[in-house]
Parts: sequence; C-alpha cells; structure tokens
Amino acid sequence: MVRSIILLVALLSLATQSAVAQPSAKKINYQDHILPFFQDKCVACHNQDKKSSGVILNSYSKVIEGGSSGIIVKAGDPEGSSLFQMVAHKSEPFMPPKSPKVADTSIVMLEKWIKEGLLETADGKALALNKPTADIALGTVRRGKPDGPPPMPEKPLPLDPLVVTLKGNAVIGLAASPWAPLLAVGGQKQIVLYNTDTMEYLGVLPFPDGFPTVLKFSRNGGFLLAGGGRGGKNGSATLFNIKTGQKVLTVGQESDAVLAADISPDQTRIALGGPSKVVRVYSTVDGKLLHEIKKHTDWITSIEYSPDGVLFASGDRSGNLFVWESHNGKEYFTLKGHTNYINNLSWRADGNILASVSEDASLKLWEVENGTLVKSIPAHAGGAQGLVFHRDGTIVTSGRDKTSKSWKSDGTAILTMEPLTDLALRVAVSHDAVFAFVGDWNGNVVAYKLADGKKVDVLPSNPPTLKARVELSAKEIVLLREQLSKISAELTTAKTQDAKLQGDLATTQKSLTDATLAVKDLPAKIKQLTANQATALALQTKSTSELKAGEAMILASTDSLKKIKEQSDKNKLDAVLAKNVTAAQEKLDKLKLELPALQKALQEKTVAYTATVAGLKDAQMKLIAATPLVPALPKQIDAMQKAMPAAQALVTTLTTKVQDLEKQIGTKEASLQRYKKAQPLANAPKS
Amino acid sequence: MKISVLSGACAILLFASATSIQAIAPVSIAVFPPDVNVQSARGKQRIIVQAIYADGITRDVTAQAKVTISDPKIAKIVNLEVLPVGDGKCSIAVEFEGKTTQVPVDVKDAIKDRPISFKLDVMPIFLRNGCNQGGCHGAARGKDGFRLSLFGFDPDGDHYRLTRELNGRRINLAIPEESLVVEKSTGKVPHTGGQKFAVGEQYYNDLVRWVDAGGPQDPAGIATPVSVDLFPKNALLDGKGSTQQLIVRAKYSDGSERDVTSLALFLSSNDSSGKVSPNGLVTAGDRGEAFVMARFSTFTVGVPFIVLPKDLKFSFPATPEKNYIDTLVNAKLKNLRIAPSATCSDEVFLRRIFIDLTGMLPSVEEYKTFMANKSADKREQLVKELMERKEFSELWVLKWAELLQIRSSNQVSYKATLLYYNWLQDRIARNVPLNQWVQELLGANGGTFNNPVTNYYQNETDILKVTENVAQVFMGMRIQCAQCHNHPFDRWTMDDYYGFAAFFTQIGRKRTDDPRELVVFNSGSGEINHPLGGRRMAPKYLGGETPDVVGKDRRGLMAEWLASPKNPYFATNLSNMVWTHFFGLGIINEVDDVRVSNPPSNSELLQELGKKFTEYNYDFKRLVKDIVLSNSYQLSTQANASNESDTKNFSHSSIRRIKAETFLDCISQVTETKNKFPGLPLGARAVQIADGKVSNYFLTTFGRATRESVCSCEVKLDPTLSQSLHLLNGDATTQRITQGNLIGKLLKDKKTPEEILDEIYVRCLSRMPSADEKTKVLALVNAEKDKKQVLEDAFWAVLNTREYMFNH
Repeated sequence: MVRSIILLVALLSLATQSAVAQPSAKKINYQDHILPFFQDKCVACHNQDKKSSGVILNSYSKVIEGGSSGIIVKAGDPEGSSLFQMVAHKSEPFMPPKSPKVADTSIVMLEKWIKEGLLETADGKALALNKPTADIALGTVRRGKPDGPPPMPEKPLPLDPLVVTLKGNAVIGLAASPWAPLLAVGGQKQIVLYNTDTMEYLGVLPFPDGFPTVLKFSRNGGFLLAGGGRGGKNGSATLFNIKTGQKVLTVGQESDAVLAADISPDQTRIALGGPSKVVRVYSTVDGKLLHEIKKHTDWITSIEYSPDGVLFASGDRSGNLFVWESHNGKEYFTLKGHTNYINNLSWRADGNILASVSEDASLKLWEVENGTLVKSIPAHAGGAQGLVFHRDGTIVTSGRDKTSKSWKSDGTAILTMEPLTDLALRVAVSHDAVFAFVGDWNGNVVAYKLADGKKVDVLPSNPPTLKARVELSAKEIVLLREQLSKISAELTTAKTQDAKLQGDLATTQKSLTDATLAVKDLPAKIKQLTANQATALALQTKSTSELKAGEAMILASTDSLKKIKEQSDKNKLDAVLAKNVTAAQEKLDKLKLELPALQKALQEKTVAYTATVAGLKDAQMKLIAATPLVPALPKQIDAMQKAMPAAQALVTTLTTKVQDLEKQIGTKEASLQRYKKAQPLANAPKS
Repeated sequence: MKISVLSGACAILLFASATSIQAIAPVSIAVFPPDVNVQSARGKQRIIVQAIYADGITRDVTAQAKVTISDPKIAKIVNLEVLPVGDGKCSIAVEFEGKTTQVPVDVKDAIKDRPISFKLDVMPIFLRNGCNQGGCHGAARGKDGFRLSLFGFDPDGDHYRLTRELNGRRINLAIPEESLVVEKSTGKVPHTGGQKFAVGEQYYNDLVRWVDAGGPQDPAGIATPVSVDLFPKNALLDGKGSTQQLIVRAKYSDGSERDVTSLALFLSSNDSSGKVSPNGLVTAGDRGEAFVMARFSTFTVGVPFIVLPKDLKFSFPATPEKNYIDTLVNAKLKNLRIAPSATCSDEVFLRRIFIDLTGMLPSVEEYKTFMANKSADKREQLVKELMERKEFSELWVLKWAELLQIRSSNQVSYKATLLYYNWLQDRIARNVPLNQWVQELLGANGGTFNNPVTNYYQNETDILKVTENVAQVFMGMRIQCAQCHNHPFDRWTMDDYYGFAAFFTQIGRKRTDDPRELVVFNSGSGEINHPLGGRRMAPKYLGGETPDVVGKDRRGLMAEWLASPKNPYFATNLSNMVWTHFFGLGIINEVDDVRVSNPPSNSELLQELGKKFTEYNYDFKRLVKDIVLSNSYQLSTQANASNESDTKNFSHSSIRRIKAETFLDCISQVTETKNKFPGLPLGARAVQIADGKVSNYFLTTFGRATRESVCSCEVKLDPTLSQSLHLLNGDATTQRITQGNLIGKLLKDKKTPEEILDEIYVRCLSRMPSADEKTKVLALVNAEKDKKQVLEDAFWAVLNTREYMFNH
C-alpha cells in the first residue's frame, strides 16, 4: 500500500514535470521556467522579506533591478551575469550555498534564458496584471442573510480527488459557509467539500500550489478563500467562486506557505501572512498589493476581518495580537495578553468582541471599543487550537486536550464534546448552528451535534477515488438497507406492544370503575338483603308454625273423631253422635284438605329465604372482592400509563430512525447516481 | 537483482583483484569488529581488515583481503557488509597475503523486520547531518522557526516539535515524501542549511518510513545505546594519501548490536594529518598525529592515528631509560619516529630542579657544591635534599590554595581563610596521603573555625557550582555543558550531571554567635530534579555506580569514592597535575579538561602514573621523585631535526615561563631584597601568601591566580607588554638592584669585576659566563670609571635576559 502511494507520488511528480516540460516548445521565460527554478532553490533567502544581498528573485522586475552590488543578470551575456556565474559555480560565492551544484539542465536553462534576452513570458510580453476573472468587490457591506438562495456549488464538482492518499494529514484548514450547508476541508493539494446537512461528499477544489493551511468563506458565503502553499518554498491565497467552483483570483508571492488569510466583508481586500512576519493586503479589484504591515515579530498565524470590515486583527507565533484599520493598514490596537502562538481569531457578529485562542491554553475575549481584555479562560490544557464565534453567539473551541468545547458569548462554558484520540485542531460550525466540525491530527473531520456534544459522523480529509467511492457507497447502501429492515422489524414489534399496552390499560380502567362502584353500592344492598332475609325467615317460621298448627289440628281432629266415632259406635244410633262423627269427619277432611296448601306455603317461604341467603352472600363476596381492587388498580394503571410514553417514544424513535434511514438511503442513492454519472479523472490515481 | 549462487558449501567473495601493495608480508591481520552480530532483516555489519607490519605500520586491506562466509545460508557479504540470510551462527574467514583470521558471525531474526524507531533511527539522522548542532536548529531558540534539542539531548521534546508543535507543517502523514522536514533536508525546497542528504539515501528512507508509519513515538522501554565502539583501535599510516576506513558499532540495552557507521558523526582533532570523511574514511595528510572521533547518541569515542612520511628511514638513538616513565615516553616516540634530545647538563638541571622543586634559584654555594660533586647519583642526592625543604611543600600549598580557592571575601572572613590555609599547609607539610586529605576536605562537617576544612563549602554555596568544581579540580572534568544539554564532545549526559549534583544537595549551613563563622553540616534533606521532566535524581558517582545513600552523609560517601581507586579519574588526574608542574604541559592538556575529545598524548604513560600513584598510597612525593629522576624530565631543551616540531610528546624539554610568585621570589633572592605582604613578616616569600585576595602590582602583572575560579587558566603565563616594561623600567629590577646593593657589597668585599660578573651569572643563570660574554662585558666594565654603576647595569641586563626569565 505504501508502495502504491509512493508510486502515486512518483506519477504525480512525473505529471508535474511533464507539465513543466511541456512549454519547452516555448522560449525559456521567467514565468514558466525560471521562477519555478528560483522557488525551488533560491527564494528562501532572496525574497522580498529576507532580501539577502538585496536580491529578490521571485519578482521579474526585481531580478532585472539587481541587488545591492548592482545588476545580477545582463541580457545576452551569461558571463557578465553574476547570478549565472554563481549558480554555475564559476565565481564565488557559489549558489545556492551549502548545497551541491544545481542540475546541469537548470544551468543550461538559465544560460539560455539570459542569452535569449531575459524573457518575462513566453510571448515576450510583460505579464498581465493579476486581474480577477470576475467582479468580486461588493458595493456595501451587508450584514445578515444575503438575498437569494444560499450559495452552493451549482455545477457538479470533480468527484475524483486529485490526490489520493491512504491517510490524511492534520487538518488545519477548515471552514463552514455562514449561510449554506457547505463545509470546506483542507486536504492534500485540494480542498474537500461536504454538505453539512447530509454529511455528503460534494467534491474537491484543486489547490495545486501546495497544501491549503487556512480556509475562510466570504461573509455572504459566495467565495471561499484558501491560503497555503509549500513550506519553505511558496505561498499564496486563492479565491474560489462557490457557485461555479472556479478560481477567480490568486494573490501573494510568499516564500513560505501562507498560514493566515481573510477576505474583507466588502470583498475588496485580501489580507494574508505567514512565516515572512509581514501582513500583506491585496486588492481584489486588480490584485495589487495595497499595504505591507511589518509590525509583527514572528510568523503571522491568524487574520480575521471584523464583520463590518472596518478593522482586521492579526496574531502571530509569539502571541502578539494587533487590530488594524482596514482602509489604511494603520495600527488601531495592540492587544497584550497572549504569551504564545495565536492559533485562531474570530469576531462576534456585532463586531464588539474579538475572541482569540492561543498555545498558552487560553481563550481570550477582547472588547474592541477600548481594546481591553474582557475575559481570559483557561480553555484547553496544553494549548487552545480551534475557534469559531458563531453568528448566534455560541463560541466553539478545540485544543491539545483532544476535546472541543462550546461556550456562551460571555465565555461561560456550555459543554465539552466527546474527546478525540489525538489533538483537536480546528473547528467550524454549520450555518444553522446544528453541527460543530472538528479537524483532528489524524486527518479527519469529526461532526458533532452542537446541542449534546455527541459524535455523529466522521468526514475524511483524504477522499477515496470515485471508483472506490462508488463501491463504498453501494456497500453502504446495502448496509443501510439491512439496518433499515432490522429497524423496521423492531418498529413493528414496538407498535404491537404499544397497542397491547393500550388495550390492557382500557380493561384495567373499566375494572377499577366497576370495583369503585361496587364498593360504593354494595353495603346498602347488603343491608337491604339482610333485612329481606329476616323478613323471609319470619315468613318461613310463620309458615312452619302454621303448618305445624294445621298438622296439630289434624291430629287433634283425628283424635276427637276417633273418640266421637267410638262414642258413636257405642251409640250407633245416636244420630247426634253420628252427626257429630260426620261433622268431625268433615272437619278432619277439611283440615286435611288445607294441609297441602300450608305445606306449599312453607316450601315457598323456604325457597324465598334460601334465595335471600344466597343473595346476601353473593353481595358480601362481591364487596370483599372489590374492596382491595380499589387501591390496587390505580397503581397498575399508573404503571401502564408510565410505560406508555416509553413505548410510544420507542415507536417514534424507531419511526424517525426508519425515516432517517430511508432519507439516508435516498441521499446515498442519489449520491451514488451522481457518482455513477460523474466523469472520473482520465488519469485517476488509484488508492 | 539476481545473485548467482556458487555451487558448493561456501561462497567465496573476492572484493577486488588483489594487487600486491607491500613487498614485505604483514606480521598479522586484524578484522573488525572482532565478532559480527546481526539482528533483524535490516541488520548489517560492515567489516574492515587491517594489516599490521613489522615496523608498526598499518594498512586498510579490506578491499584486497579474501573474505569467505562459512555458511551462505546464514549470512552473505555485499559491498563489504555482512547481511543476514538466515538465523544461526557461522564465521567469516579472512585471508591476506598468507595471514588468516576468523570472525564469528551470529544472525538473529534474519527475516523479521524491525519497526522504525524515532530514537534509534530518526534522532541519529539529525546528529549525523548536523541538524541539531548549536549553529543550526540546535540553538536555544532554534533556526528559522524550528528547534531541535542540542545534539539531541531531548528526544521526546524533538518528537513533539516535529509532529505536534506546528501541526500540519513539519511532517505530512498523507504524503510522507512531501513532509517539510524531508523536503528541506533533501534541498527540494530552499533550506538555509543547504541540502543535507539526497532522495534515496538511508537517511531519507528512514525519515520517510518513520513519517509513513504515522510519526510514532517509541514505546516505553525501547533499547538505548549503552556503549559505542570505534574500529580499528589505532592506526599508523604510511605516507600522505593512505586511507583507513572506520566503523562504529553501538551496543544497546537489550543486548543487540548495530553497525552505526552511517549514523555516527566523525571528527578529527587534526585535519592536516588525518582528515576524516563524513562516512568515516580517514585520509593521511602531513606527518603528525590525529585523534579521530565518532559521536553517536551521547557517546564520543576516538582512536589515535599517526601519520608518517612515506618510507621514512628512522632509527631510535640510544637513550637512557631511568624508570617506567622513560620507557613509556620513548615507546611513543619510537612510534612517531622521533628521536629525543640529549640529557641536559648539570648546570641546566640544577637551575631547573631548583625552580621546579623549591621555587628558588640555587645559591652560589649550592651551585659550587653541586658542580663539585663527582658522584654518579648527585642528581638523585640533590632531589632528595630539595624535597625535604619547606620551600617544596610551600610551592604545593600555593598550587592547592589556588585550586581550593583560598580567598577571603565579603562572605568569607580573613580568619577563616587563614585557618583554612593553615590546615592545607599542615596536610602538605606532613605529606598526608592525598586521598586522605581530599576525603577529609570533601566530607567535611563542622564550624569554619573549629574545623577549617569546611571552608571549602563556605567559599562556594551554589550546589551546581560545587558539583562542577569538585569534578574539575579532582577529576579534571569540565561538566558544565551537561547542566543544560548532554556534553557534545564527551560522555557526560544531563543524567550524569544531576546525578552527581545530588551528592551536594544536603549541605546544611548555619551561622554561629561569631558572625565570621559558619557551621557546615549534613542537613539530611534536599534533592535535585532533572530539568527535563522533573524527575528526582538519585546520587550517582560521576562515571560510576549509584550507591545506597539512605540515612548516610552523601558527601561522605562521595568523598570516599572520589579519592579512591574506585574512581578511575582521581589518580590519573592528580598525576597529570603533578606532571604538568614539571613539564609545563599536561599529558592531557589543559590538565582540567579531561574529555574523550581531548585525549592524553600518551595514554599508557598517564595510566601508569595513575597506577603508581595509587600503589604509592597517594604519596605524591614519591610520584614527584619518579618524575624528576626520569631522563625525560632531564632532557635538554635543545631540539634535534626529528623533534623540533614536537610539542606534546616530551621529546625535549620545553622552555617554560615562571609563575608570578616564584618569579618575584627569584628576583628578590638574586637581588637580596625583601618583600612585605599583608599579614606576613618582612622578607616573606610570595609563595607564602595565604589569601588569594592579597596581591601586588608585580604579582598581578605576572598573572597571579585570583582564585576566583578553579580553572587551571587562573594562573596566567602569557607574556604581556606591561611585564616587559615592568622588568625594563619598573621597580622590580632597577630599584631592587640599588636597594639590595649586591654589587656594592661585593665591591666592598674587594671582589674583582670578573668575580662579580661570575657571581651575577651563577646567581641568576646558574652558570658561569662564557668567554665571549666575559670578554665583552669586561671590556665595557674596564672602559667605565664607576665600576658599581656599570656592574649594576650588567646585573640589570642579565635580569632582563630571556635566559633568566624562563625555566629551561
């Protein structure tokens, strides 16, 4: 794998070499041939800042002008050109010093260039001014949301990265558009763009000058400024039009990588700085250098314009922090307090407070009315690195303690986000302040939900090739679909459970109603039934005694009949007696006739009584049963009611998840379609 | 690449077609390293073959020797390097012009790769390529915004600075080849320090490999180098242009060994005789000696090179060898093809031995007695007699008073100073063995009045200063560098420095009722922390072990170790100090600048002196006797053709300046004048002055030590214009001649001008005037009426001769 990268790099350098070699058909000229050579070998010392021996080699006019001991190149006369003599080791001091002689091809090229008359460009015409390809400047500074839809890339960007690496390098260029869901990440000779709503990869912007070290969106989100370069060699800042993805302007001819840059809110100026210790301000109208500020004593590490564009602040590696007037580059304030490398600066939306973070571990808030320090917070042990003062007043910082933190605009801490595994270097906050993005030492950008500090995604600064991405994307979709079906199943289960819970609750609630009613009514009914039972018992008793009386009378009547009959039998003819017998017989018969009625009555009464006994017992049992239910059931109901939101929430969550997944799948599928449709690079590097 | 494998058990590699370069066969051959140990697939070991000839000449015959590996399944040889093939042991047979030798080879983990290590692989790159030297990124504030620790004393800090100080700049994990540190060192982008190495070189590959691995820090407990060897151990090169390759091998704490020739930094003490290339190839130049060193990690090791003119014809003259000193001095001279001068005359010896042993000139009587003595051992007799004189011990009290900085100041009372001086005088007068009184001194506790030796800890109260002074005076080590970084040209690391300083952290000091007195005691508490990381340092003898100090007086322990045979530097350093007194030049010079990169001019001699000194139970008088009775001490200053350019091998006596006190005493002696110094009676000698603060114009002008530091450079022997003017016009000569009225007295004694002239010569120069001198001076005397004036002028003239002003 490593080998393949080396191979890739070799291929790339081959590519660049052939790109340089191409114009060999052209005449040797400064712009195409000599300047790149000087940048490789000479400009570390012979630049506008160091000016060793008064010689500046990264500007054509300065080369012609010469150094402190006169001209260094004489058209048509290599022998009379001290520059050539020294480089060719024909006269001392040999250049470059302490190094072997440069390649013969370079010496031949230099000689030819001098012989052919020191051409500046291939066609021999002076280089045109560095004019922007479009109007950049705004008439006025407009604060707040610009008109129209937030600027997003309108044309599809190249999706195949220009450089593919297995690993990323520490992310130090990171910015989010203030109005659009767009995140820019500094990668390897390219800027990687992501959508902050969907975390979707949008493509790359090429930065062939080297490595982008600082990224800033213009205040209306219409442009992206990328500063950077090759350490020890060259540095510049390039402005990209977000809608078209095109470069519109490149300014700066630093001899080392640009480390800090910003575009003014009215988009008329670009300020930049780096190891040269000089802040240079360029016009975006014609690309001309407007001001050079030489007050800093160490590398310029951070620059930011105030929201109204009246001021801009710059910080350096030693902890010096200055505020300048934009229109003339004059000093406005010296903000003394930091003792070490200032990593980032950010203005509050109203322009009254400037925030700064430094390797001295502190986050400092400066009031810009009088230039005083308002608050100094020991934000990140070991050194504070990243800083964003979002429009909504939230401050987000990151640092060497591997964490990122959010603060209220007065500097009170809100929360600390989940820590990373290595240094947290830069932060950006999405346009809607929903997500914070943290660039880390390992080359990834970790997305956090700002509200709870939870990690939500990881966006690499080293995107894979289009081909790999298509495969990866397809795989991801398959995985997402698997996840979706699993979660859908979970949702179904959850829904069933929720329904059951609801049914159970209704039943229980009815039982409670019933029990409550029973406890309320039954005592009265029992009383009534008790009374009824007594009555029935009395009736039964009465009926029994009546029956007994009847039976006694029958017995008595039978007795008396027998006596009468005996008497009559003895006096058979005694009619009276006979009559008496008949009468007695009749009476007995009558009595016997009445007995069944009595028996029946008793039976009825007994049945009635038994019924009342059963009724009472029933009522009593019911009461006993209902009484404990009254206090018990509400608890059950309570539990059920409590369980209800969780069940419902689960359903909601799962539903949301399902929806999210469906949306993600939708996005991914759309992306996949986009990737599939996109044109891969002809010589796409392989990872 | 294809390697044709030779059939048979062994593969024979011929390095080059052997052409006979020496008609005579060598007496032996040596192969370095003496054993080859290769670990891991990346392991390798370069070998060199040295042929030694009968006359001591050596040649690098690696390219001509026939080298055979006994088992090609274990190792192979490519480009003079032994490379691993498979695990196991075998041997290398080396044959050159009939001489053979064998070297064992041990290969381990032949197919296992070793992970890249920051400390073992990357840090040496910065040292070798000069990145972390003082003028570049090793400067305290770094260079062009990037700092490395000086000579790599702080690898953890360097790791931080490379990987995480300026994130995203110095290393590029994504494209390691385009890391700034790589592009700068290969000159791909402009670099103030120029191109240090090229793409594809080992340094480049290792640096890129490290970045590619993610710029990892080493796991805790990674092996550290414990010793470094430089091969061959010596070389005697024959003629300009002959070469000798060096190899450097490091041993690590895990027992492994590595060929670090490509990572070591080579230096030569003398480029014109032996210039060493960055890759360790020494090329002979002009005749002379060169000490060639290799620095790796915290180690500096060196080998002596001698370069002779091609095919020099030389035979060593018969030279008396009185004792071991002569044997060893002559052995070195033989190697150098230098003939020593002849033994000096009795007159020269007399004057020299008087000045060196007593700080006085011989009197006329002493001169006459000695010259009249006909016995064979008269020099020995004289030495014996002089060493018993009190002047002998006074001279050494002066020497030690300088080193112990006996000097009153605002902090140190005059009383304490005097008592301290008396203590020292007593020890030296009684000839107490040096180790005894040094132990007493360094372990001292008590009041500065009651036990005056404690003044040592009153004079200097700074812990680090005391540490440095003890090392410098008693061990000859200047360890000051190691206070802030590992010593760049010696073995001392910050660990050594602070480990030694830990012995001096528990010196308690308190006042008594007498404000002039201080009590020094063992406070039993106090520690010192390492400035990097703040870890507490356990007391460790400088170059020795870490003793158990719990509950003990740390200084006592240290003193016991320091002034004992356990300390390898004590005896040799003191012997060298004594030697320097008699030769005006140390075997290691300066005497208090002992370091690997400043080797002894005759290591065997120094070791032997130290050994004898220890055997004599540190009786320095015996050592002095050995030295002054050696023929080497008694050589003439007259150089011969072969030794006239020699300045360090004691092939002839050197003409030495006389130190201020002795010189003043000599002037007083010959002019018969008296001096008055504060606190001393009239007529006392300058060497008797106790307090370093006391001085006079003469002594200051002639470079008397101020005793403000322990440096041997305190005594200044450089000539100055004011010295000359003072002798010509000042009160040191003219006024003293008048004041002493020697000529007047002699004239009064009716001495003839000739006799007076003889007396002046004998007094001042310990010799009779030559006939020529006599004729010329007497002509002048006879032409003048005022004999006293003209003779005094002659006296003045003799006092202003260089012959008088020097010890020769």
